[in-house]
Amino acid sequence: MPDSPTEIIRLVNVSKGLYDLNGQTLNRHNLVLSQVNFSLEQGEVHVLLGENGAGKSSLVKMICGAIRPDSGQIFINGKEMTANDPQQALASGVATVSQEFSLCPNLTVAENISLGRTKYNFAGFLDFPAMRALATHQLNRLGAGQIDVNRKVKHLPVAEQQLVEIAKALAANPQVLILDEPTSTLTDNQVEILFRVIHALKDSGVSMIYITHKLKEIFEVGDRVTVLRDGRSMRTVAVAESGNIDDLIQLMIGSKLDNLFNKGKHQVGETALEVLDLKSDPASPALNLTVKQGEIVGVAGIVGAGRTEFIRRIFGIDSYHSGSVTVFGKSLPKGNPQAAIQAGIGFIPEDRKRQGIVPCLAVRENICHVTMRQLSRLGWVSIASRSRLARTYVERLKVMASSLRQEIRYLSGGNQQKAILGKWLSANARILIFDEPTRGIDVITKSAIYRLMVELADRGVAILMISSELQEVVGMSDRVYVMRSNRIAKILAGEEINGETILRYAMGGDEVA
Amino acid sequence: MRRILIPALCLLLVGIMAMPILAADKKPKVAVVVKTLTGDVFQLKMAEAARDQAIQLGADATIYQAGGQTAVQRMVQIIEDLIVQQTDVIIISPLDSKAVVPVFRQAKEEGIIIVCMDQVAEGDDYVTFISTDNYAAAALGAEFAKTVLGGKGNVVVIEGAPGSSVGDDRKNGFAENIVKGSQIKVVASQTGLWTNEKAMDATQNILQANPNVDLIFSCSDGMTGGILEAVKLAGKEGKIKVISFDGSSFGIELIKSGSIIADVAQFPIKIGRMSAETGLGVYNKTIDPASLPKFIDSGTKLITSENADASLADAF
Amino acid sequence: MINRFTSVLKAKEAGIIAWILLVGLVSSILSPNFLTPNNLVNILAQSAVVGIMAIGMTMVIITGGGGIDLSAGSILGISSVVMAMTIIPPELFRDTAAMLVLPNDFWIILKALIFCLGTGAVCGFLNGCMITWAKLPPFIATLSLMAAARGTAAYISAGIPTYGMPTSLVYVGQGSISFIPIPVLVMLALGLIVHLALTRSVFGITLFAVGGNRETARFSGMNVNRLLISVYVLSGVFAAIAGVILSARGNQVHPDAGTGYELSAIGASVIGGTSMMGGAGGIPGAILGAIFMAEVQNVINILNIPVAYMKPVLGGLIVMAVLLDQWHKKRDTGE
Repeated sequence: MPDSPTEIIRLVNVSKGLYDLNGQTLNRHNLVLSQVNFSLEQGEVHVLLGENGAGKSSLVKMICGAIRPDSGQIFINGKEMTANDPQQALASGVATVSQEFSLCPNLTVAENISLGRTKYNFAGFLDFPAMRALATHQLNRLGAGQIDVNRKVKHLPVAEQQLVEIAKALAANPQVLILDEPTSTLTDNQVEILFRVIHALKDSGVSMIYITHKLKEIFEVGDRVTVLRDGRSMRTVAVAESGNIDDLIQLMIGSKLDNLFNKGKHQVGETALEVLDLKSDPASPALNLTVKQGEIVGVAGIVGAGRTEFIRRIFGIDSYHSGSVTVFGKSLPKGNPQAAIQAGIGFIPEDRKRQGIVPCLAVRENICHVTMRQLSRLGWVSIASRSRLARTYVERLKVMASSLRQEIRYLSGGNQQKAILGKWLSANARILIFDEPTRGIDVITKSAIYRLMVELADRGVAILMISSELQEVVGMSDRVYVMRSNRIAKILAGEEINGETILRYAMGGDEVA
Repeated sequence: MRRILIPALCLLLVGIMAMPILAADKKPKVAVVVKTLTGDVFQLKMAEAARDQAIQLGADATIYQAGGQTAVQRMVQIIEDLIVQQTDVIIISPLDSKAVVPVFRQAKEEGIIIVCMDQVAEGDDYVTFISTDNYAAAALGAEFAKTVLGGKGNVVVIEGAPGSSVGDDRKNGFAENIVKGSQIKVVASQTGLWTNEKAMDATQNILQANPNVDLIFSCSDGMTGGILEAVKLAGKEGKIKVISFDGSSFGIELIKSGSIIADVAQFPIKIGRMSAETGLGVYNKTIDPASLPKFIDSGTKLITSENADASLADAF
Repeated sequence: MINRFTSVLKAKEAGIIAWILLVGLVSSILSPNFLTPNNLVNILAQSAVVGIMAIGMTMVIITGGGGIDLSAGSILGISSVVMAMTIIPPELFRDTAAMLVLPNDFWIILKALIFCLGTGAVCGFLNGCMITWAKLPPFIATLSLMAAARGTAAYISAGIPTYGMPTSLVYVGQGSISFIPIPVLVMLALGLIVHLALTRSVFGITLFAVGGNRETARFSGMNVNRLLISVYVLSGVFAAIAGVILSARGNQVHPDAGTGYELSAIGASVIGGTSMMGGAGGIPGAILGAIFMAEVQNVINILNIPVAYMKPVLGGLIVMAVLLDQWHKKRDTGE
């Protein structure tokens, strides 16, 4: 039995298949976690490192008891955990600061921090003074005494909400604290204070699991690092001995087959899209970007680097402060997607269900939504002309639907994505923006979409692709813009485009070296 | 003893004589509270008469409306506000006979004089209730109908909104008395919700089921226009006689044009005036509230083609 | 033949058709006076006002995001008051007594109709502005206009109803072509136009897209605000048309006219299969819903059911109709 006296948590050969939001296993063959081993010792800060989808969040959820492994064992303080019950995890002293806040927006700061540890006075009523005192104490520890504990959480800025989230976790006096990218919304000053708290906690014997995409932070707070890749634990090393940062990056990426991609040499034409000095507000950094006809340009970066926000401004969904977006030499007005579409931009958004499709409508109508004006005569569009158009693209893109009238929500994610692509192709879009084009799509449809993208580029369409999948960015892009903290950290082209380089810039590896 | 008594009496006399002067300094505040003035000519005329009469008697008078046929809560609120403003007399047509009882009690405790008009409230916190005797008035219509129909035939009643005591009294007054000592049958009694459009629909539907209707009794002039349209559409114009209730000038014009045979008149202007006089009388102590009856009938009159022209003069 | 029959059964209006037939069957057993040509025409005529309002209401509900027009009944009231004030000379307007006899002056009537529909359009435009620019929830925006429009109607008419319309206008409300009452023809014609627009026009496709998913509509370059405003304007115009029909049918104008009709119109839409969540629904269902409600009212009157039972019966039937419809839909989608 694993029973080292200083070992708080130990995971032995845990595996987990694909699961849906309720933690039900969907697919036992496509594993999220595979034979993972992990240990956490008392008083250490253990950093989890890995690409998006490498299995970090799943691992953490398993330790919290939110999901249950399909196989393998979890020990907390040498005791095997059986039920997937977060309350039990908390009783064993595990607290989490998650990326998606667990705060109740309509409760006050004090109420949130003492949630689950609610205090009652002698009469059985909520003891508000005690709750406020607890909250104030915890916030003071974080150097955030300026936050009014009587304010509702929804009225706080995001950075302060993050601090409240941390204070809430601290209030549990946890034995184990899990920090999932706690610094992504904090200012440098706040990060510094947080690190001081982490050091203090460490000294008092609290163990921490620290998930981050910022390489710099590993060296500032980490004791050991475990690198995850494709659901496997690759290696655990002491930070002091890890030495070269490139080794870590290499471990994260491995050597992947990229037979999904058949990147050819595209014939690059005139500049299709040009973004000059775009600033979302006066203080923010100016962003520049160009995409030429026949070019596939990737935008890489970790989640929260500001990629989607940047693209939404280009397309006009959101407005911006200054700068210009030019399409084929014609400048676009701010915040006007209609103008962008008219100029020839098509947008395949990240959140398919909420932004890409109208779930309750037929495949036919979903395909016709942009083109109907061209099809119409005096505002009337016949059903026949719509069917004809939709059929063309359903057949061309091989959308698998039982009929044109089938509601699009019953299609698979990949086929929905093809239908959305069909919508833009029918509108003769000359610039296509893909935001996470293959998220949640099976591998066969994925390769079909990649082929389509290449085919489109060959025909002179300018493609701008945001992706968090390194493989995809490396495999598809002619040039790559790497974003970090709302600015463009590096533009890569040709041979420079490889996983290591992209990750180094995306995670701030250049700041460490 | 006498030396004290005489000056005391003198003082008392002066005091009594000075009272009207002092009172004149402070005009009595009168509030006229009704359900709504919109589309309800009866309420409008009654409220205006009460206000104008009160002003004529030297009071400050204002009309307050709850703003709907069913705005009970709003009416209660209005009374609460009036209590705070230390109103002296409230002349009111309560929307709901029960809901106003608590505020009436409160107002009475503050010494406010309450007169109910047209509609009554429960309890005895008001000094009197002045209204048409709706049951008796409808019975008057029933008697006339009996003679016109010669003691036999089929009649239909178009009722007011469900739950209104006025509507129920009129319906019962007609329906109960028309069958007494006659072979007349009430073949249908349905609500017109006090509105023309609903009364029209209901009449149309009833005439589908009962082709042999001889007479329709409308519980309000406000529904008679719709009933007549329905009769006309059914091609029964002239064959079905209509008796209405209210005695508004609209109703009397209908008699003169031969569209209806009779209208049971009530007198909203008289009700309004009497209410103002009684309320201010109690306030000025010229009327002893103990001697007042709890119900004062403002009178009714059956208007037919014979007296239509004469009645038009004092109709509302 | 069998195919056609099953496709009728599967149509989304099948539920409401079944209800109309069921209530009809029971009623014709209980009363010999129900199933007569006259009575059936009568039911159709009585459904017209609510039916016309339901056409506009259905579009509003399809926009989703809590889309609803509570002001429709009040818009009906104020537009018919405006119409009456345009037709009736001012010296006669306050004359509560007379059954007015008015000349059939084509230009005056045309002017009155334009003012009437214009009033409806302006009210709808105000609703649309409150909802799009001021970002008020439709419930609140239309609730406030409901009170404001009713109050204005009462104010400009001094609360006094008027009796008597020009005979040509009354013909629109009471006349028939062949045996079909003109209000029914108006309802069917408007229903057909809007039905075609919803299924075969840029406007209709945009409406369903916005109702089904507002974000996606925006990402597809649709002008969501312009659509919302035009839908509320249309709802106001349809309420005004309903006002013309109501006034013409009753031969009179009342500032309180149409009170509560918005709820009947919402009921007709929902009974007819329009989803309160938006994105789904149709005009045929809404008109059938209005006919169903008129049918129930007719049955109550014909059977002389005491008034105390009327509202519970009506409410119960609506709930049952909607439940049946939902069950029907669930079975269809196999959920």
